Amino acid sequence: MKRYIIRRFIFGIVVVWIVSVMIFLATRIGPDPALMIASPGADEAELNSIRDRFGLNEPLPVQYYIFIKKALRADFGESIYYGLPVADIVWQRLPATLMLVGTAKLISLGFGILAGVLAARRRTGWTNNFLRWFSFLGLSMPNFWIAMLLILIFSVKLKLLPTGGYGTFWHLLMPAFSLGWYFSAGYTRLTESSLLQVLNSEYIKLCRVKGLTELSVVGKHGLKNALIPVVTLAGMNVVLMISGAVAVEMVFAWPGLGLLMYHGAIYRDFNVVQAVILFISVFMVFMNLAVDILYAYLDPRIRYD
Amino acid sequence: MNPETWRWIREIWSRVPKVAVIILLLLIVTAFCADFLALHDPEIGDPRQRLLPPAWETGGRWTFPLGTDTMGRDVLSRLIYGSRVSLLVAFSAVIIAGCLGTFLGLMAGFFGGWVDQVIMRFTDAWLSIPTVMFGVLMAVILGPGVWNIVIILGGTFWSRYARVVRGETLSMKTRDFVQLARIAGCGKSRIIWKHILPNVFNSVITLSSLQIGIVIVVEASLTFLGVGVPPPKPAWGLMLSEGRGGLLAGYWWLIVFPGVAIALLVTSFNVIGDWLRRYLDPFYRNIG
Amino acid sequence: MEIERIWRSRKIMFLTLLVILQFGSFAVSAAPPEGILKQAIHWSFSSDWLDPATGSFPIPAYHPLYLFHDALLKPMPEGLYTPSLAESWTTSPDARVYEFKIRKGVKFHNGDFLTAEDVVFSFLRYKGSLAKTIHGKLEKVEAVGPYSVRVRFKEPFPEFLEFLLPGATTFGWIVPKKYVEKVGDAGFKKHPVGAGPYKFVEIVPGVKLVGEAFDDYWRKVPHIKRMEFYNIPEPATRLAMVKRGEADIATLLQGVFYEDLKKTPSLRMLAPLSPVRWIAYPAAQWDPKSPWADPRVRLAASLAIDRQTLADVHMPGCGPVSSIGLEGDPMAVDFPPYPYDPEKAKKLLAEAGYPKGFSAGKFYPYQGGYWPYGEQIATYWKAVGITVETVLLDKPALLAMREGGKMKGGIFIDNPTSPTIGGRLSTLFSGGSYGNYPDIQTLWEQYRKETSPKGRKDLITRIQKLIYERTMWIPLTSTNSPAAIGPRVKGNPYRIQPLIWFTAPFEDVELVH
Repeated sequence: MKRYIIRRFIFGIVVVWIVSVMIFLATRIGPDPALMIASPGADEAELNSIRDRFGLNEPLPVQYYIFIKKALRADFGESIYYGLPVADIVWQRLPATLMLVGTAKLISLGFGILAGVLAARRRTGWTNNFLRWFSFLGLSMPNFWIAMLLILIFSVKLKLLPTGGYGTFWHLLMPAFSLGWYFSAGYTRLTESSLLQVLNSEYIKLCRVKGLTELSVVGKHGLKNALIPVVTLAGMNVVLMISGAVAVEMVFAWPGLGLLMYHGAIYRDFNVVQAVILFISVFMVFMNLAVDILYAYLDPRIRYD
Repeated sequence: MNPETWRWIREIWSRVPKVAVIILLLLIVTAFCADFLALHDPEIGDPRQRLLPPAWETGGRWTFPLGTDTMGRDVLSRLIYGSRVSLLVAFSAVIIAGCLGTFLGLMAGFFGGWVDQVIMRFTDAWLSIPTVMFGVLMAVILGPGVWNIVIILGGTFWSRYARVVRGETLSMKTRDFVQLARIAGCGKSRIIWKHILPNVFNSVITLSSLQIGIVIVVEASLTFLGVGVPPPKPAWGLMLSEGRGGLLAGYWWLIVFPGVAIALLVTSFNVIGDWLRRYLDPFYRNIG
Repeated sequence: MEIERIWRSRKIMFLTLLVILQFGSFAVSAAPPEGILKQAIHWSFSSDWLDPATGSFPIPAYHPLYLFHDALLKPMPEGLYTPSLAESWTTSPDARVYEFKIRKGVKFHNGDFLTAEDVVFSFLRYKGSLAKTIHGKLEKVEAVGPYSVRVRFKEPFPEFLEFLLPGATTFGWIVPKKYVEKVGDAGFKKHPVGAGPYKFVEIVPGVKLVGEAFDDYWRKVPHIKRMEFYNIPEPATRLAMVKRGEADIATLLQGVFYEDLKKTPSLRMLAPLSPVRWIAYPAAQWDPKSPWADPRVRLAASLAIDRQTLADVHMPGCGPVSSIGLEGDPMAVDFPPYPYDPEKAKKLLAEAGYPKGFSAGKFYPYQGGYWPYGEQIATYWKAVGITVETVLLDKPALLAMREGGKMKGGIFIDNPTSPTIGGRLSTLFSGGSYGNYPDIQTLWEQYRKETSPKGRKDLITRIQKLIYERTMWIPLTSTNSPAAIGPRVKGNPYRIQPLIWFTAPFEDVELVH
């Protein structure tokens, strides 16, 4: 078990390193960011002083080395546009993204699992069908479109919810829903098939024979096992959710990392872009690591991969 | 065509999700025959005719059946031509991603060892980068253009293929027919191309049909953010983006029609993909 | 069965909870209380803009300056060079020495009084745009007594006062010496202190900016107690916020949003003019083999465009223009408008040897992301036979290509932003892909050395005439920034036009009672 953890951890480090190189190179191709800050018609000397300020004049490997050295100290340089240390800005925006993605996850899992359970129990009835179609619908509409529809209905026409911005639970509702709806379909299908498989297993038959109540059988033993792949999928989907948040944040002016990164890309503020993408990737790598280890703990067969 | 084939076709037809397949075929035909179907040039409009509602509303005209957009262009023509762009981008991106990912997955699964490790770490790295964000970054750097978008999308989605194909290849390697081929002295590449690939193909097709929906939606998001298919080309994602103020302003036709088109296309692919998954290989329920 | 019952009761509980919670949401729809003005704006605040020494040139960067700081002279409703912190100034005949008389009794937000020392400190501290140019020319800055500052330059610098205007540099904006020395530059950016009408309260970069009225402001006590600005990038959301009353002003609503705004009775539309003017510049004219080298072709391209319809559709309230100077700029010359005459355009093309038109190269119509205008121009040109290939690049890519000289042979839409005609011509004559005619270049060099105001005006008028006669570039339109004004706002808060297109002066903005 220990060997497994160590191996996985080393892999994680390697992956993070690869990501850092890719991101670094990606942001260094393309036009000179100094041109964006300087006034038009600025002479070479002025452009050079801007480049010096951000270390752009060094050869690439040197720049990469400096970048990694600083990153290990959590110093991601200064934002060319905002004039503040990037680490501060990212830290400021992080809670908003966490809240958004977390709530969206909860909503999508809630709907998805509910629909899947009902489907697995073969309940025909309007609830079951409605939830199923609801999930499928969410798959086919881009989240920013859903977002605008929601604003139209709940903000402008019904005047129930605030339009955009950040602050209260009510500001969170529409963005989280727009983001999460898409993912509920996957959870529905997975819960349904997984639960069906589990409910037909020997283990469940044994539980029934033992005389446990139906609720205990399905709810406790059945669901608990059936949800393992769902949780795995949820973990894999986090990165999709974070990237999908960009468009939603744009529509609702939700001050999260997505909007920050987008703004950074448009303005060639590459310190910001690097930091955000790297941060998210590192987060993802270690989250997958945690899930892998949890899986190996639960199912010993996997350790010998 | 001999009766054998007819029977085969009829049998398949009885099992496929008919509605989805019909919708998809219609859309593909529209894309091909756009030049004959569209009434107006999708890229040129008269600004004095802008924002006309669909023909059945007051103020609408039958020369512009679904209304006009902010630049006076016919919405219906743009929808028709847009099917071409959307389908082209989606198919190309998925083909690129599929080829790249399958190739890498085969290599990793078959050869194992450090080849496998290197490819897998690379795949993990790619999977942990947020797709849309990276897409935005690359689009901003590479510049606008339909083919740039295809490359970016293809270059981002290959990792799922690699993972799945690798898994399949690994399990194939231990199967009898592969062992037999080895004993018979078949060369490595022959084994891969002739024995493993055809069996992996099913999963690749299933995965592709599900991925197309995602690619279409991601392309729409990228275009919404201003870094996707550039104007004036008609693309449904672009129509959504251009018309987005329309929803609040009451110009609903700007968004409803392209939105419905996207929804139809994506749903058909998803239904077909779902059916493929259940029909072809029950092993893959847990791909997600 | 038992499970079904439990699921059902849980569903009912959930729904009931939802309904109850909904009633709590009514608290959100309340309008902001008295004395607060909320604006939903389209640009993103940078902390760099809070410090005049690191401010940059685009107009939004002047927003925090007009809010928290003040300058020796600045554009105000009274005029471009309105004395503010400086009561008056003198220029030596050789344009090398400038003396500013500082207003007495001006306080900073922390209570310190403003003296000549602060002015000298601010000048020497400046590191923003064109800092090297100014510091390079600077020979000496000194305080002559507590309320007078003398600036001496190494060589004649007749454009110095122009350099102090927004769009050029933030050199003339004054910060408190003692405070900056105490907290340092980084501390100053975190919490700036200035002499402006509002005190700094908070900034979340890219999200919001808040200021509170400074009752001891020398000019007047601001009407509104608190100003809040929210960065909302999506125009649909901005407009929805104003419709709902969550914000009082929403900026930059173009195209479809503008149409929507027109139909909304509860909101007013004001479109402050922006100092930007668009021109189509055929860089290909410097290539003797290109059709664009012939002035008849350029004139034809100009006549082919229906500027009025374009304005009606995309830039309502802006007229077609035929020159690039701003209204109110004494050195700018205006010319008769170009008519929309595609027939004459075709005739000119035929004269020049292109009766069937020609393939005109690449067209780069970037203007602030609003490309439909450029697209339409390509269509007009196509109608007379000039076929262009439209390439959309965003601003950084465009800048890079221009400066790198890689765009020879292209046509692009440029938007000179300098506050004065001199500045605009300077930008247009100096970009990497641009060139100049020898006679105009000679006149231009003379202009830069000329110190007498009459001589300068004469020279620059001749330059502009030559440009017009040769159709060196094709002026298109002035631009504006349509904004939605909610019912709480009184009158027109945009009083420094056309240079400043945000709600300045802030101390003058009023609410309806």
